[in-house]
Amino acid sequence: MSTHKDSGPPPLPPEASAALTALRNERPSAHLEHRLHLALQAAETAGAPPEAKASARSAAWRARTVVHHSANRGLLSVALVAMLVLLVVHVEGWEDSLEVKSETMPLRHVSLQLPGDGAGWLELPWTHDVHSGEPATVRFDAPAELNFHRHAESLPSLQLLSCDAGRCIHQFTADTGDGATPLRVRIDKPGLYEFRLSHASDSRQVQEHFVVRADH
Amino acid sequence: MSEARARFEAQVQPLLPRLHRLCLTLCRDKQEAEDLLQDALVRAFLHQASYQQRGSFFGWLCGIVRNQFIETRRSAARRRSLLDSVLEGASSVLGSLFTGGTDVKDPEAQVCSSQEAELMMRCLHALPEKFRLVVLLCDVEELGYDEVSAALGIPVGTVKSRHFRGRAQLGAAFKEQLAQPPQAVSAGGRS
Repeated sequence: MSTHKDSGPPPLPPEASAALTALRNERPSAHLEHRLHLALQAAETAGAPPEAKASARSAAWRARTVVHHSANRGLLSVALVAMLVLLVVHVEGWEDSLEVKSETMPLRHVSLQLPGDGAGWLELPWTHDVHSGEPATVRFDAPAELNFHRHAESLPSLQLLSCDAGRCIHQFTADTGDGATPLRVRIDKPGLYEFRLSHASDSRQVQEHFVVRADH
Repeated sequence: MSEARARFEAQVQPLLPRLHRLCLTLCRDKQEAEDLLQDALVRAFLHQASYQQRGSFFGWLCGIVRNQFIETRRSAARRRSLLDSVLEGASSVLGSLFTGGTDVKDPEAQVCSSQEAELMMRCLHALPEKFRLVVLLCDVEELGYDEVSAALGIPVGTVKSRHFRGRAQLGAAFKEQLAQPPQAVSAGGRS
């Protein structure tokens, strides 16, 4: 019946092939990877399948049958209005108390003067002080050509999580506060380098973005 | 970190870009795709003992993502139905105050970091879901028909047929997009 099984799929226009390649380079952000890491951590701590969703669904189903009873609709409407009024009044403080918000710092530009031999060490001015001395899990998204694993001795927890599209994501646990772990990167040649940093403790989660210009 | 979680994360890490693209292709919204990926990975982690090593790990994860997507969509449909009922009741008390709160997507919202990838994602979203997934797995993820068959739980012949028809529709959708006047798209991704 179908002759196409033998002939293979029709070719795509050349521009479409290029767009497929571009799509192949899409990757999750460091922030998302960090979020997934935390979700798995929470799932492990809870140690149970996501039963909460199932019970929420059955609760929703029960609620729906109640709502479909026309005598209850007026009452539910009034309850809904009262709930919305309460939320409008309390929403800001309420949200703050429920979750650790992710904060995004503005982009920062950093200059590095490379010495005569062509290589220099840059210490990124990351805002570790927001964590009030608590240890933080750091995800560091850096150009692949910078071998961040030169830090392996000073950062025993350092892991290379992934490399894709010329960038690598490293993860480690860092001290913060007065004895904060310095974040040093060796840069061998002049150019523009982009770094994304996500660090989270129990109280704060911060995203930072640096663009470094290295010149002789 | 426990050994089990460390092992699971190490196994999943290299597959994250592919799983993320799968979620972006299934969902029409970046946030929804990220939620789907998280829910699916948590489910996979909690049920990793059910992976019997019969097919590829990626194929097993694809199946979980797809099932999670279907389940989430059904739940959302039920919730919408419930919310509609409540809003209907509320609007009878408060007039049209609640009737304007529909979920309208921002047409400027980008899910991909490059415009080329965004264009391809728009074309993929123009395809029916059954073709979209097969085209994604065959043409973007470059999986063989056998792997796609195992990941989606459909016969190889069906995969080939859907790939053929999906590819034809994708080419047409792409030409149609190219023929349209360029849209101003907000910048995203890396600077």
